[in-house]
Amino acid sequence: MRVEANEILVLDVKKMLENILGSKCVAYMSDITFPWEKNFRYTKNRKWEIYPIIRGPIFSIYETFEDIVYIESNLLFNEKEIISNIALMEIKEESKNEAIKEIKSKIYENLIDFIHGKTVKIIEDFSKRENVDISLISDYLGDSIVLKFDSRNLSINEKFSLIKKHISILINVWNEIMGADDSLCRKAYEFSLPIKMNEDFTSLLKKVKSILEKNIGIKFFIKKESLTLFSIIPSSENSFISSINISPKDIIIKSKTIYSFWNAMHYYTIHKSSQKFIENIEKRMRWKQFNDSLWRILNIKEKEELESFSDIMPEVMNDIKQLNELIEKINKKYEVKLNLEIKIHELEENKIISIVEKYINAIKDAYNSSFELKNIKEIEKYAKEILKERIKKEEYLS
Amino acid sequence: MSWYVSIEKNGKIIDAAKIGSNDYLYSLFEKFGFHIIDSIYNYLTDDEMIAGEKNCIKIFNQDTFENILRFYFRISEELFNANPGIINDLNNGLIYSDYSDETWMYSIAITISKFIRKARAIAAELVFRYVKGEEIFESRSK
Repeated sequence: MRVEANEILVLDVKKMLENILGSKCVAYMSDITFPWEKNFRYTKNRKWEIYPIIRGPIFSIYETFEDIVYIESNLLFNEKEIISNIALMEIKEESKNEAIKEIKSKIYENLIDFIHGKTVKIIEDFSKRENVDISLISDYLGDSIVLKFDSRNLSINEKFSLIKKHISILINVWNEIMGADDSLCRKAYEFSLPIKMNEDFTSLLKKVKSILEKNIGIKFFIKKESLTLFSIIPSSENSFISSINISPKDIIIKSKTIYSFWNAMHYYTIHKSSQKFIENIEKRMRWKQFNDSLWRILNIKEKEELESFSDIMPEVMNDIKQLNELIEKINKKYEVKLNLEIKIHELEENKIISIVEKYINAIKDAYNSSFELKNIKEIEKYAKEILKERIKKEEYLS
Repeated sequence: MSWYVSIEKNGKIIDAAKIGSNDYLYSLFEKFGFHIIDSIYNYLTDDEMIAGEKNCIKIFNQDTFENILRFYFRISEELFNANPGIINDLNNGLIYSDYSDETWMYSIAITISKFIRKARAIAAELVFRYVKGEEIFESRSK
């Protein structure tokens, strides 16, 4: 009988809330509770819960098994969304940087003081005036208002009318906070809603991913690197693209390593000049220097430093020269410049997609053509032999 | 640091449960042959990949809910079929703290399944996070 009574109450409260908000709500009633759940869960099962579909003053209404009814508001602000939206706006709207700075200082930096000052005062006033239990709850992302009352020994009608009264108070508190003189809280709330820019950007991400899958024939995954940076990575090694980094500002396409300097170094030292190399202490020291600075000289900007080692590795330098010539040819053929970022700021989506497609084809050509070069072929062969030996050793050890 | 599962809507946490540390989940992976968190990536849509973050998986699409519900249901069913006695004891409240890998895995799979059903019913997100629980979940209990 108790469950049936609750069902009637839940349906009545749901209908009433839908009428007040002018939007659909969803109700949920607790199912079976397992004895071991208390060891895992941080929240207790509730008898029933109601959630409006639209985002507004009411977040949820629920009753616990301890007979307390809660009426909760949505977050007054969401710190993480504000940071994320400001970061996106800073990237997209470079010309309006001053405006963003102002929003940042007014909304974000004064937010906590404002919420905990003015809001607490409004809540205290309402609590005294209406004689109800209202408090400000701080979640890890922001603050919300919570009203509650003891529902023990109350009939369904009494519960219903108390819920109705509390909903009305919560909406009034919400409106007063949002309409306060300098309305910083309203701005903070509006800034906490996901901005449209996200939708445009995610559409671009999905289109670039689908182009990669179409051109390379394998599955790619989208990975979020930070608030404004995403990468699209291949699902298998069988791809000449290693990753694509996309931010609202630019796209960086990275090919798979064409030429391994580590393999080249081993190749020339072990297979070509090992004897001489061991005998010559001075040369050995140069190799050590080369080895130590390798992480830096692999960066394209440190090309001059790489050239300073040409005396100990003329063949490697020759390989680099040949690769550069090849890339020049590819650049001319596809009218692109490999190793450069694509600036997508203010470009239309279709234009971006066609540039990305061009780059993918250029990289594919460069990657395949590089294996026509004699030294790269030998290094590749050598690398495969090394890999085979390693696998053999691992199999033997296991 | 631990993996947690939660039901979240408009940035608010409605329900939360602790799953286990990375090391423990890896040891379960070595024993049972599947990873209770990493396996989820196989079912995510592009929108969910975009919404997720480092050490955070967000699920909100109906198809993904269906697929991962099936995945966790299969885990709990297989564990029950292999150990009917101890799982019955667990569900009857006869096992309190002396959890085995099997009973722990079963409890996690059922808890996540319950969360999936609720998240789906109230149009909320199911979120898996690898965090220090006290920062996000533990201070919230009322």
